[in-house]
Amino acid sequence: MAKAPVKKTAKQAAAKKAEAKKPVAKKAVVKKASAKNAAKAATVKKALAKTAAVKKAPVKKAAVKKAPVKKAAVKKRPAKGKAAKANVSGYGSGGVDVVMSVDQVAREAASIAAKAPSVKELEKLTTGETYLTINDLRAGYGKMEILHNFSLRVGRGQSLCLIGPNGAGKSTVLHSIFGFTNIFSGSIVIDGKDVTALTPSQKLAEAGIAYILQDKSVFPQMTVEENLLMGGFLKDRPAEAKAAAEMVFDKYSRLADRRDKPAGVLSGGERRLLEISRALVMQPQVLLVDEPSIGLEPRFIDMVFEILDDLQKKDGKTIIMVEQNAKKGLAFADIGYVLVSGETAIADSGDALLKNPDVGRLFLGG
Amino acid sequence: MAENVIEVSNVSKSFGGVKANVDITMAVERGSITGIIGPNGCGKSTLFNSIVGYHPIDAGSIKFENQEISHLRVGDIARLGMLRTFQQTRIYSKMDCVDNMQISVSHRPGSQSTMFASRRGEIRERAEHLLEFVGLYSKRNLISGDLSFGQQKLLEFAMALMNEPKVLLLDEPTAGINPTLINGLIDRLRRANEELGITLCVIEHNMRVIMNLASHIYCLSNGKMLADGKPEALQNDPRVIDAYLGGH
Amino acid sequence: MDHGADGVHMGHHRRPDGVQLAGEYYLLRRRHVYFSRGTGVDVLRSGRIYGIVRRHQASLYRGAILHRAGDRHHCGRHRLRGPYFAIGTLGVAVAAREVAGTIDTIGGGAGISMPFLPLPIEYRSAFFYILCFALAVVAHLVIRWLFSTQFGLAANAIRDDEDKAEAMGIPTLRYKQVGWAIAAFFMGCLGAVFGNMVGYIEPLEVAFPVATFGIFMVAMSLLGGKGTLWGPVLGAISFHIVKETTWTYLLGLQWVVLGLILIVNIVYFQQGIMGWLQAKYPERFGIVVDKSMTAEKGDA
Repeated sequence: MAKAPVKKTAKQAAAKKAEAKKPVAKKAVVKKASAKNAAKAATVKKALAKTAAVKKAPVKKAAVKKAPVKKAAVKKRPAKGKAAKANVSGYGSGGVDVVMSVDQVAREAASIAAKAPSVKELEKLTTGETYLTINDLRAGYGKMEILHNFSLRVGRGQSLCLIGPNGAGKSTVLHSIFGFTNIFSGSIVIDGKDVTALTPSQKLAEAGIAYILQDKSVFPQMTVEENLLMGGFLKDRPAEAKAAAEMVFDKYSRLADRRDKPAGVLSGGERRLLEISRALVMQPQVLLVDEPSIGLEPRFIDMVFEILDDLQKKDGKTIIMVEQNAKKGLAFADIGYVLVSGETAIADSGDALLKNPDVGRLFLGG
Repeated sequence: MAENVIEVSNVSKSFGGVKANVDITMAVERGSITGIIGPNGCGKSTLFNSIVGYHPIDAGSIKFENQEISHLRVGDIARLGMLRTFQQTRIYSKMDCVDNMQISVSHRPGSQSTMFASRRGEIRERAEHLLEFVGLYSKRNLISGDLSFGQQKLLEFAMALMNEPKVLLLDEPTAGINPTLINGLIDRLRRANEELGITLCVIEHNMRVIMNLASHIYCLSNGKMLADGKPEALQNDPRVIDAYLGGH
Repeated sequence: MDHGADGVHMGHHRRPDGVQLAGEYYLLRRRHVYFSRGTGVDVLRSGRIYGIVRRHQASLYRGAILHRAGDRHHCGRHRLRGPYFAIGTLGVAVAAREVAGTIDTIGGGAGISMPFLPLPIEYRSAFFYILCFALAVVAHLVIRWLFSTQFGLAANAIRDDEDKAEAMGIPTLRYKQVGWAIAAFFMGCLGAVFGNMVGYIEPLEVAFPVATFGIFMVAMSLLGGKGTLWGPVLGAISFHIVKETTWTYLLGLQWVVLGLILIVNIVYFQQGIMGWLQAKYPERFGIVVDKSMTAEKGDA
């Protein structure tokens, strides 16, 4: 990381920022962050220059620390399969230059949604047989209809990530699959069986669908083992639940080490691990994951995605997730759907969506 | 040399046997944006709660504008000009947005709002202006409980601005928000800081946000202060990487 | 006109003013009373006794709260919130009943009889009817005005999320006290009228009847829709219609019917009449609904 290019891009960024610093409605030009630290240093410097009361950042301190730190950082990085995407670890980096108002995002997204993908195109994205199908779903809460004619196709053992603005209906899709919403019309079919009308407990027990909630869903006073046993509540006999819990402990030794501790004392990453593995006790085929990385500190975000990757590739689970950390979600998933106002605006493979400039501008924060 | 608007000195707090905060010392400069990061369970929220008066502290002192506040309660501290937002986004869900804003007006002694003042007039105009600032003008007459999660977060932020605080403590303001909207939120936070002169103190997990927003960051771990400094410094600090960031 | 108990009446006449003055002085000193001295029922001065008892109840509670407010170490955990606040006021009412039973000025446990109305007897019921009606109208208008001010917003905010209201600097304790005081004021006024209507005041059955205040009052509000202006009015009307018809035609079963109404109301019809109307026709009540989100918009 040389110092010279940092200064040059800093100047460019400063100039661009000066132009773009107008009322919110202006679209700033997206600049791809080539060197992580360059972009960060530039925007940080600009922010510092603006804030009156704060002194200028002495960059010297950072430079001195860099030499010894580099070795440690390299040692710590575990061998990952997705080496090419290593620069999007945790919450990634990048600037915050692309500022658009909520209404403007909605307008542009609506114009993209006008060319919505047809069912055929959705089919093309699945590999092998289509395992889970949603047909023309209209669903919502109470009298409010959130999803309008929503369709989805995902193949067995594939992963699909839903991204989009807040309130677009991403969690509603998961809720609808699992049975928490009012379904006005449409159907959900898994492996040929229509499961639209099943209750959530039936979905878990018979249809092999498990729902992993957003954040803080462990029972904090109960031990790790008891939490896992609760995951197997619907089994016919407690002995079956115990056997399944043992299988989970074999798979994840981190949990086994803490089996007698109350779940409330686990760290954030371990809690998320517990939530995921608790869902595994019923041996589902489909995992519905609601915001796996929400509230997690950076070092655990990668861990969670590794766990999900392992479940998909080794155990052959089908995973449908909602992820607000869109870059991470799309990097992980095979298929990506961009939802806007209850309809699919764009559907493509995860990597293709990451490279799509419109998607980047409107939904990924540049 | 800017003065410190909040000074936390050797604050400790335990709950039962758990030592949530041990001997924490930090300061927030007036007019700055300060960040607090750290793993879950490290005591960030406890520190926040101590500062805003949600519970008393076991030891140490907390000063706001050189006035000791560690014995005061939430309402008193709020009336001194220090507000906080909640992680789970709390608004008055059965009232519409404009009403939410109107009741958020400052209740400091000597301020404009009296108990039986009419609802029309200047307060309402300011409320609508701020709703436009955060981009919720078109939704201003809807019941706030019907808004989506991200919109509720924006409303909570607007309500805080309506109160004209001197310091705003934000607890994970961007959790669960779409990345592009995050940019908008950061922009508004910056503008609130620069144009309205509000000092900000932010707890965040999203590194992109905190590194682009804060001028000074404190990192906690296991209830103790681990490191503090400028964003780039902290990002390369091995202790912080080990305890919190993970290898990049 | 001839008051049999004139001497007693005179005695009452003098003392109540002193007591009332003392009470109001106490309240004014605490600066928690914003309403005027007059009860609006000056024609029946002895009725003020009942009003005083009621207002003392208010000041007793206020005194208790102020004592607590001075106690800073409990950090709000001993403040009464939500349903506990309501239960607390009920508790104070029961306590006030017992206290009233020991005060000899107002007759102790046996109560006191009210003087006769100085009007021909055939006008008696009409008189009281008009008086109560006028009082109800005044109360309704005052509450209506009250809720169009910041007070209304604050009360709703406290109902929605009291912690949030505290965190935003709203002095919730003061608002709750004022709200309680205003409610107690109207209760006091009406109590004075009621006492004279019945003919005598006695702590247990007349002044603080459990069934009326503990059950009927709540049932009427729930039936009509709590948290609305017209809800309790509609609820009271429908409740009394039902009460009168069952007492007349289903004598013996009236309590069963009453119980059933309460159960059905709480289990299936929680929003009450006004709540149900507001959900069905929101625009008529000024509630704005986002049309694009409702399922009624037809096919997309």
